[in-house]
Amino acid sequence: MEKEKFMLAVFLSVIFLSAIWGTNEVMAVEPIKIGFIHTLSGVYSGYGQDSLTAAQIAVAEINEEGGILGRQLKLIPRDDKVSPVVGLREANDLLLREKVDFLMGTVSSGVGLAISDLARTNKIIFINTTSQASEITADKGHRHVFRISTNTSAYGRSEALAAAKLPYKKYFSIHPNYAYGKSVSASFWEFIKKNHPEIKMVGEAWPALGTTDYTPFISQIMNSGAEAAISSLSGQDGITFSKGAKAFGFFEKIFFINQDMGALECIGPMGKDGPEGFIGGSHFPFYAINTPESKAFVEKFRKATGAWPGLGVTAYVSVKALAQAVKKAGTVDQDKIINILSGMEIKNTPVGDMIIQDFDHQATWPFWLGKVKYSEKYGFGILTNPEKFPAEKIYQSREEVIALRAAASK
Amino acid sequence: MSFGFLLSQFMSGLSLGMILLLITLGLSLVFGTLKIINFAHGSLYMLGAYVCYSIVRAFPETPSMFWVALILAPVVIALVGAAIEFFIFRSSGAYRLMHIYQLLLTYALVLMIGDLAKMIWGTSYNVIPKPDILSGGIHFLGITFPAYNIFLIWLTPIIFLCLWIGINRTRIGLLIRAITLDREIMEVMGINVSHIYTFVFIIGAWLAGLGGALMAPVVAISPGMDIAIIVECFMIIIIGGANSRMGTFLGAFLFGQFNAFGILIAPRLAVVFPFILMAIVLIARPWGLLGKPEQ
Repeated sequence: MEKEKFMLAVFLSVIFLSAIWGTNEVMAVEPIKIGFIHTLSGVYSGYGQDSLTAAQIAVAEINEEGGILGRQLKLIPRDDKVSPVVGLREANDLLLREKVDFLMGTVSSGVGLAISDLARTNKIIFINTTSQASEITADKGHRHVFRISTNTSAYGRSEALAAAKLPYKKYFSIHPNYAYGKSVSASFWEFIKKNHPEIKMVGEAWPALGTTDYTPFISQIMNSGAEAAISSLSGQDGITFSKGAKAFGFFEKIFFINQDMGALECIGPMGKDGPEGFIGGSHFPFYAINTPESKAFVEKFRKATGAWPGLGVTAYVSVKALAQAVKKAGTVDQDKIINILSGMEIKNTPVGDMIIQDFDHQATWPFWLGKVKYSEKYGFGILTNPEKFPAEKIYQSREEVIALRAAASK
Repeated sequence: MSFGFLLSQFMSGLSLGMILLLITLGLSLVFGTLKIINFAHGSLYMLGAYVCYSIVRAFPETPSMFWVALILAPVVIALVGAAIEFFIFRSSGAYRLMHIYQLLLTYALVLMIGDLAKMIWGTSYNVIPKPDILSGGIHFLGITFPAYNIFLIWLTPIIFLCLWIGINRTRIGLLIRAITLDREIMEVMGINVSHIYTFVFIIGAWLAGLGGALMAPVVAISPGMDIAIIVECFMIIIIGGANSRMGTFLGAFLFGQFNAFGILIAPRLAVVFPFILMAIVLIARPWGLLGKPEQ
């Protein structure tokens, strides 16, 4: 018995010592951790994957230059599977077990809203790179949420401005039935009602996210008497819709406006068979931006993946902007960093300079719309002569945001 | 609301219904005979789409490769099905387990196959075009309807008919029906029930793979399509009745029409239509429209 107890004591001591030894090693170079929650599978996986790649490029760049405040930056990615429930579970795990310093992410606005709320109660900075519902920073915005990307206000208003220049007056409205789709639709139609009431909605459809067959909807649109259609079906939905609609001769008969279908993640996989002649949008039409920053990012992305960059660029800029703020703050203290981020200028991004607005923490990311045509050079449809919409034309103003927040808190 | 409009919506509903019928048939067959609730049926469907994609993309200069893929992919999936049935179901004694354990087992398969697909094909969207002869629209009775959907509307009943003939007019079909009614007595009579079980599962997997391959040009192939489809398949089985092939047909047909016309009446409820239909059936006839009330 004595011998066993002795061996057990030795054994436990060895384990205990090695644990401390290990911890000491870790303590010395504890990295700054970013919990990266994105959609890596399912309907929007294209966006999540691109964002992750872009973020990893940014992290590698920062770490090569010595990290931030002498510490390495570490990205911990998790898959939210387009579900707020899963997203919250992963976020909680990242906060409690991994003890991340910041949260970044989300594609689906449903998940974005959930994580934003979690960030608010846990008082941790959440930088939204891809979820677009304007509510995230406007109506439901708060101190700890930031967005370095466009939003549905930019989508809806730029599309409304584009529609106003077209000769069509009868529009069919088809959007995915959840936070994002509702937000784009509301943004578009509110602007139209106020400024261009001659444009009318002749019908609306709200397909479920991830619908496998859009045939009944396509048929409905083509029989509705609409001359044009406005839509925010994106990612996988955009692809499935386009494939179904092409066979109906849809794009020749109905003028289609869908900002998401200009995004590479959607139009890219369709290649030669993608639709043409519709108005699509892009956060980053790299083929039309000739700045050195844009070209540098495109090259880095291509080297890393062999593919062309799409929406993921917002994650790249987000990581860089966060690093910039932390460096300036000289600490990982949430409040100090928030004060710096709020109103911070982000210069020389692949899309130019922008500011993180102090009243809603929404960055003034510009947006482009253009008619889509297949490009032999790139192997997918690109925006021809894209029109750049500056922030003041498309984002909600300070007064509007204050009014929305007041209404939301009633 | 012109005749053309109504016809168009009806055809849309029909094509939606027939697509789902094709995919659900395999599930229905397996559940009826093997009495196992195979969640992984959706995964086999997804694998069928992926394998079809891989075959087509491996020969980009040969546009008619799709037809070859259509024949090969279901065979590959049938083999996968055989492996699953033999190595997993049979050896674990899954058939003697309670339904809840069967569900867990097949759900585990869903997760494994799902991750396997992610590892092999990645997580981005994979797309193949429709074959050229079926990529346009067909004009009839004043409307234009996609040729590929019409192809599916014709193909599914033919397959259904072949399946029906196979089950009701052949000797092996007779054995399958007998085993469905009473497995024990068939074993006592010296029939090798295990072999027949494998055979039925292979047919089910083949149908799932065929469904996937046929849907490959229609959708964006990506992880998550396994879960999306299996929910709809189960709803159709619940609506139509678990033990009746005609029930599955009727369930799929109603599902399609309900969706096609429901969106005209209440567009904001599009998400819940399948559930409303299922709820109505469960309240009025809980064993499904053509099902038989069990003991």
